[in-house]
Amino acid sequence: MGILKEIFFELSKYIFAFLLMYYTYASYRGSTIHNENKRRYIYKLQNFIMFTVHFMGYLILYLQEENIDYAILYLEQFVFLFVIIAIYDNVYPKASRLLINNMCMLMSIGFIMLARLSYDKCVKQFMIAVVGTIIAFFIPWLLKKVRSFRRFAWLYCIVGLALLVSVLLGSRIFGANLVLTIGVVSVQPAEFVKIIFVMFIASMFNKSTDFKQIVITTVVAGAHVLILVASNDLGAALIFFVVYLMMLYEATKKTMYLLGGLVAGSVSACVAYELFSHVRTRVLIWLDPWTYIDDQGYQITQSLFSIGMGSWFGVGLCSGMPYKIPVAEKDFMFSAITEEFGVVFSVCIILICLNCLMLMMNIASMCKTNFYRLVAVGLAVTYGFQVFLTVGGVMKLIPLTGVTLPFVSYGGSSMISSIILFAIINGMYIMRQDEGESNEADKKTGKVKINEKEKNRK
Amino acid sequence: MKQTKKQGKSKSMKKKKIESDMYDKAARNKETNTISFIFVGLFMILAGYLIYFSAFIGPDVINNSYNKRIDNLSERVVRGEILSADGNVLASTTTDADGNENRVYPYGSVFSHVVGLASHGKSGIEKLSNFFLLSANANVLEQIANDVSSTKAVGDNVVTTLNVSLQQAAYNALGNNKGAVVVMEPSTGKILAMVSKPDYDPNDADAMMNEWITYDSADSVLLNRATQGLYPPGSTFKILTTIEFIRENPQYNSFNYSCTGSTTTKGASTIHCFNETVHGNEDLNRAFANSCNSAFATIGQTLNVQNYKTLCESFAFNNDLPIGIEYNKSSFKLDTSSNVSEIMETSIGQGRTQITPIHNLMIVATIANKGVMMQPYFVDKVVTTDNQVVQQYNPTEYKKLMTEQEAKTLTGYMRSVVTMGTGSSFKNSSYTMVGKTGSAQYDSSENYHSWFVGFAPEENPQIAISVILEGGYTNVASAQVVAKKVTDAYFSK
Repeated sequence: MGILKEIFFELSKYIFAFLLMYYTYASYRGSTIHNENKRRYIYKLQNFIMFTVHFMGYLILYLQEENIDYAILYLEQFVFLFVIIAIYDNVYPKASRLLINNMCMLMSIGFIMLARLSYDKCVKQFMIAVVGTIIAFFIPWLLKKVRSFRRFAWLYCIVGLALLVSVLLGSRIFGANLVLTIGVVSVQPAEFVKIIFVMFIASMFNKSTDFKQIVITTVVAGAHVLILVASNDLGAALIFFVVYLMMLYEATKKTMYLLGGLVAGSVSACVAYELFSHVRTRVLIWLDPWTYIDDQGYQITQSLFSIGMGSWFGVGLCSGMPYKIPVAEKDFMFSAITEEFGVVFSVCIILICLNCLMLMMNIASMCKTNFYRLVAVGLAVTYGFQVFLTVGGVMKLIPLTGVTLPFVSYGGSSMISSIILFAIINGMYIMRQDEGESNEADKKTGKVKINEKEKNRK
Repeated sequence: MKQTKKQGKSKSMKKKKIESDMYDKAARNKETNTISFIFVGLFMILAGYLIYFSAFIGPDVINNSYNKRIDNLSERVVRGEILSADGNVLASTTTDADGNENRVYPYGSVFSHVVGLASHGKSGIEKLSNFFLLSANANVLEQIANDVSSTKAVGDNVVTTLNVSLQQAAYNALGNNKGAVVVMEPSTGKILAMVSKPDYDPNDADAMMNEWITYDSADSVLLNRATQGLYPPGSTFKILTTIEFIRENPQYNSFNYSCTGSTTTKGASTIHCFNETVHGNEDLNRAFANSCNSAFATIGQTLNVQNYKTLCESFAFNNDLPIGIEYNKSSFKLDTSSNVSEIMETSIGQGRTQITPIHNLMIVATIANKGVMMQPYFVDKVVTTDNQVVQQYNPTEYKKLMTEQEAKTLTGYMRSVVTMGTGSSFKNSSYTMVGKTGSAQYDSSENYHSWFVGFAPEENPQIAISVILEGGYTNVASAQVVAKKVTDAYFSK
């Protein structure tokens, strides 16, 4: 038995890498295939791969720890993932199956790594994911029923700013760390304000994109960013800034705004560097973490060791020391995964995240409603830029900003807000198809015209 | 017509459904396209950098004492061997019947500092190549077989640049004196020999370590004096003073000085020539060959202190050395606020200037290598147990520091040191030695550290050498005698 176990452990890392490579290939292939049956087949195959990876991961954990709890947790998670796919398939058949598959794939990788780092945290994270999924399940339905989301611009503004200010005051007065505690539940409001912020910008620009409206929106958006910088949540501040800039560009269609915004952003980054010592510290550690390896540079250097040790195929699940990185389960999940699963596996994760982003941009470009197009772009940028910040940060390509990898990192607020974000996008996929059906009349006339044209050519 | 329309309609409906997941490029507007491209670009950078990191940066990064993951490797891998350039084993690991591993050093104390220790905090090449020694890159099937049978894999071997016979010659030449000898190939930076005394037998580390660490730094056996010992450079520093003088005075050939055995500047201290020898009338070449303190203290006062400092810092004073094993930084303390006495003392290599033997070697090797300083290195390649190369190290330029002409001029002066100056031990050698002697005063006693730095042959330098003998040395006249024994051994092979 010992020998079989060893062989399985040794081979597993190559199997993991191969499976995820195939999954990633299927994600991109699936989105370009025209034949619906073939596409459904590919999506089913993806689910099969996901369940295999999930099963293998837990099998290794179980064999390593020899604790029946892991088997139970596995079964619960299996049922959970299975139910998500089955329910969406039956209740919302028009949702993007690929987006759901990707979400489940990322979640299951996160669950495995989290269970490996801390069983208790994995249980907690799993429960939050269940709650989040239940909440998010009503979102597509809500989007369909309520058509007036675009009218509440100032409500979004007030709620968003109020939440951020409460965190700022909390951190200033009580020294709390970006967390709001209500009873037993701790929430990281910035995670949710991200979505509210997108709704706010979209409502504002949906109304008008004249100069006055742009100025007002910019001031409010700037206030969000400044509060976040003041509360030392630099990652979120950057995300808000980039999201605002991209949405402005999308709404006004003026490249000048994009370039001007980038220049303004660079200037204010320099100002922030001069003004805030915590910004300078981050940059200093980024440039040379080795000098500060004992204190502020400890985390990032451990992260680099982690990725470096992983090399192409990883050291194998449970064979590395990812727990050497302080709070690996939050901001450094990507490094931990790279150490044990390898760079090939991690590159696939990057590509899967990119696939999600492409699906979001895709729905944005197909939305006929201005408001929803802006929302889709905003959410896509929120998601994409967050992935860029965390992955780029842990490998020291850019300074660390301390944001999470959606669906993979530990953190309840991050998990729930990511699930909601994906649910809104799915809601749009569903709406868009309904829209398509109701617009069939217009289409018909269009078609006739084309037929006439063809006739004329003949 | 009606039918066609219907068909058209149903087709379009079908198509709609199919298109639902597609990246429909035609439907996209310019802005969404631009944003998509930006993010595709960002993600490609992420993936590309991750691959680049894994291929090129990661292997260097992980070899760090803060990386506890490497210690973890020793549970699965038997530490590989350290070999000399010609394949002699300098360190290997034996496993006894009970599975206890023991690190064995066949040459005992001869290679003590440079090979270093694999335990007790690690040092030398054992530390430098720690990760490679604990990585088994021999064939994959064998590794899996090892995993399965739970026998340990055997780590890769590290082939050093060290030459056993030269190391032994240097070890014997130094005798029982405290000091260090370092020998390098100037064109590549390969370290051929490195000896530091007093030494220790690494085979006794487990039993003796507790005693060794109690020695103070003057007697410490653990200190690698070749890279960690800081000494006043003495007259060897006149090399840098000369370079600065030549740069500031294009007419340096017409330099003339009349030595009376000492020089006194008003309000500053008096500088004496060694043994108060009166050197008489000298040009720059002769002043250098005679190592005339009076002349160089006078030269020193004419120099632009800021430029002098810049020159020394470009030669890595006050800077990190690119050598990979533990070392200390050399220091040059002169600046524009220094007084005349300090300037005079500094220009003859006294004052507060401090240098390590390997750094002095790098400077003299720069002259041998036509003005290009090479990075010294100890490891030529890493090979698997079946001799496949895992990693090959190539010579690396550190900096181009002098013009070829400057190097040639300095070489000429250093040749004069041997033919008509203080380096007379090499006068009758079969090879053309060039070099610079030095005597460094380190306290108020009559004891001097003795220095020699040089290279040979003059025309086509093959080795460069740096020797320090700490004050109070016995059985040997000076550092140049030690150096000669080593270079003789090299050229008599």
